[in-house]
Amino acid sequence: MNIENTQSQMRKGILEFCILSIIRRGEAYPSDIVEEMKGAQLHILEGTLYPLLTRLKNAEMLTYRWVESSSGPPRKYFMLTEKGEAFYRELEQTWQELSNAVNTLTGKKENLS
Amino acid sequence: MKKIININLSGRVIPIEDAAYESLQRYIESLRRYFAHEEGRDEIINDIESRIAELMDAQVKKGAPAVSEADMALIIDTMGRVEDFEEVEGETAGASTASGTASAAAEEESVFSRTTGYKPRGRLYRDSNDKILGGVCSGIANYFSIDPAIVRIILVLLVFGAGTGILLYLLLWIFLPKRPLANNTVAKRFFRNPDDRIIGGVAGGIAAYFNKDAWTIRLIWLAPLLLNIILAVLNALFDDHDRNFFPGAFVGSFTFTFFISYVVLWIILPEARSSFQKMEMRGEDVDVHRIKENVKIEIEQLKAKTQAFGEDVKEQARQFAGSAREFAGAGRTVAGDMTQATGSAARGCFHIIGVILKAALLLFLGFMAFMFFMGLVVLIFGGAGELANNFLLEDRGQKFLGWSGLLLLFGVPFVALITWAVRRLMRVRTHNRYLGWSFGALWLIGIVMAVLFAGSMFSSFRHLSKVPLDVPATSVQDRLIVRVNQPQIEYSNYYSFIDADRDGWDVNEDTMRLSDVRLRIDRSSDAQYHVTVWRYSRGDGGREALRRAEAFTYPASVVDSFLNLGSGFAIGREQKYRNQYVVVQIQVPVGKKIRIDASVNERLETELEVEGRRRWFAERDWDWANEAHAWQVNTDYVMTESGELVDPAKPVTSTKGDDYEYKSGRSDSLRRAIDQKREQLQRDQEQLERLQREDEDRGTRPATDSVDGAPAAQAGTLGAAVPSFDAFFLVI
Repeated sequence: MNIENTQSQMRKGILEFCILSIIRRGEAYPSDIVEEMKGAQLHILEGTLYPLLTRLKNAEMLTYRWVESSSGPPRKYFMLTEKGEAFYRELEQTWQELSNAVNTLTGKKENLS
Repeated sequence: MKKIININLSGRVIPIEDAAYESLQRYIESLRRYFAHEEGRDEIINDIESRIAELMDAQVKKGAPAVSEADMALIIDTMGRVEDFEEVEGETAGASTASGTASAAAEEESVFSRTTGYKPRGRLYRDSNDKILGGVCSGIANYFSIDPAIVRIILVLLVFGAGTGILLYLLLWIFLPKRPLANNTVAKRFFRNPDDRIIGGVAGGIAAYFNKDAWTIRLIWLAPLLLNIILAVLNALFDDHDRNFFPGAFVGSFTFTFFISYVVLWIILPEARSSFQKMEMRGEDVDVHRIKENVKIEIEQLKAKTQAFGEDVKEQARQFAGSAREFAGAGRTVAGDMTQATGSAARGCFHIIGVILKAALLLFLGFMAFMFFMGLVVLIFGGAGELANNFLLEDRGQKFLGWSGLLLLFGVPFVALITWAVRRLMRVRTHNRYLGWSFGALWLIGIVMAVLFAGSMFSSFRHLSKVPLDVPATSVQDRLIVRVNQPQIEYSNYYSFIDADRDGWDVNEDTMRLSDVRLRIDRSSDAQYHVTVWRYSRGDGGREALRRAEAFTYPASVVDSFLNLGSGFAIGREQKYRNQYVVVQIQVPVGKKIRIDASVNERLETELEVEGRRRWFAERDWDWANEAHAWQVNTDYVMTESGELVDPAKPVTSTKGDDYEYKSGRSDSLRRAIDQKREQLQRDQEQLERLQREDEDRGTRPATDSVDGAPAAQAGTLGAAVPSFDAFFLVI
């Protein structure tokens, strides 16, 4: 069993969830998303983020608008659509269930409410 | 020493070191390949590019003179290399489509096989990464490690070889499994070169492949066409219709073969879009590149092994998580796959059809230009313009309409084509809208003028009038001999472009001589012979037609028992040609004889046959019930009471058939004449068919037969350009 692989598998599943939750708080610029995730010790490459955002956008979870920037051409800022909001809620619920289940199984019962 | 260049990346101008630029290009290229199958590929890459531009800009703003290679490496690290993000990639791809294990696994496989260089040794696949229709050719090429273009060319040749290629292709399409194969590591590949193109960039691409000048290649392509044009011009100038200087059809078929080969290559060869493809096309730098590529492939293969291990875990986890969603998801993916497959095949078909249409349009335009060119040559050198001006076009208005209409109708497309070609050659890329509109407007004016001219010409020929002139014939006793005692009119070859196989007419600068003289023989109402010369002409209105009919003369006189006819009549240039002709009406008393001398048949332009030779028709305004008569020359005929001419040497009984409906000799002879004609026609038809069949049998050559059938027709049309002008003026 490869430990790295298992770790990355675990990480991957929640990536979308995390990104959506960041965008949900307000319009976000991709590199800001990366920074924020880095701050939370969740590393993601920009090269990975862009395709993910594009896919979410094509799935109508996200939309974007061009925001004028002081230096150079306008930048793309992403925000959540209604569909994305519903999607996020579903994910959130799944996450709650999962974390409850994991916590229960791993013995951290204090998190149960 | 480092070279610094300025690039424009997503709207920012950035100074960058040459080496850094190259690594940037390679990086973008790797992304492009990586996301080759991603739906929003261009968008993703645009986003990444603009982010890179932003990072570079920040670097430059910090005070760096230019983006260095180290900066570039740092930026690429931030963005992540293809190798780094693929592990995340595969999973997110699966997750975002929310599909079950089966489709996710398939996607997984496609993602990593693409980058790890899936080398299917010993197995033949269709390559879904590089395809025009079904990816069969590129799959085969991958198997043998050769350029797919070569396989495609062979396939097209097979298609021309009795169509076996189509069957083969379809079979392979059906039987071979589809797989996104790794890039074929061929050192050099055929591409179309978008940087050096005039039509499709085919010649430019081939030139780049062989490291030759593009014009050398183009010249090879154009040589047969140019030769063809030169020959056509030569043939037109030297007017030798029976024997051309060179076999035009031979060169013509070559032209067509080259044309077809260009179209095929246009379809088959991909356009070298990216810098990497351009390098591949030239074979430049490819060795270094290949080494890099190979190293990368090895590393990735190693990685793939470790990943394959993790795969099991992943799969089980997924199975556990989404067994319900799996079902729905799988269905959706299959449907998606199918629409994608049909979509791409349709796109391939459209590509092919589009190219063929484009090529056909170019051929058509080229042909138009060629026709106009030929027309100009004929007009300038042959004097057809003079001819039309002198004998056809009447007043200033008609001349203006005719010539301006012609000039605009043919000249505008020609000039437009030249303009287009020049702009292409000069690489003028700007779109000039006014140019198109003004060409279109001028052409439209040309069409209107041409239509007006045609109407005017039509009305010039609308009315037919005739003028009678009696010729005294009192000296004739028992027999009248009709003869032509002037020598036959021969063509003087004044206008060398006119095909002069046929004599009996002539034209020069100011006179036209015609021998359109018809005979009509009636029963005289008294005991005298009567001869009347009717002159006919057409014109715009009955009075004008009459004036034109009066304006020319036809000599006819009776001396003793001879009716001496002229060999033709002359039309001056002021009179214009309006389909003038003459009918000589001869009235023969009952019981008297008439004899047509052979010279009549030989020297006059009587369009009508007599018993297998010439038959004389009456004009429409003569109220003859049956218009055909079968007479022989140098035979004495006797006029009967019924207005019928009979040959006393051949009693009527001999012409009388066993037909019950037989009423008069006239209708019987008519029917017989018609029957004979029909029989002869049938025989001619059979002979023609036999000849054609023999010709076809002889003309069949192996392998190229289906290519050669068409070019003959093509050459025919090209070659016909010259004779058709002749035909035109013969009709006039």
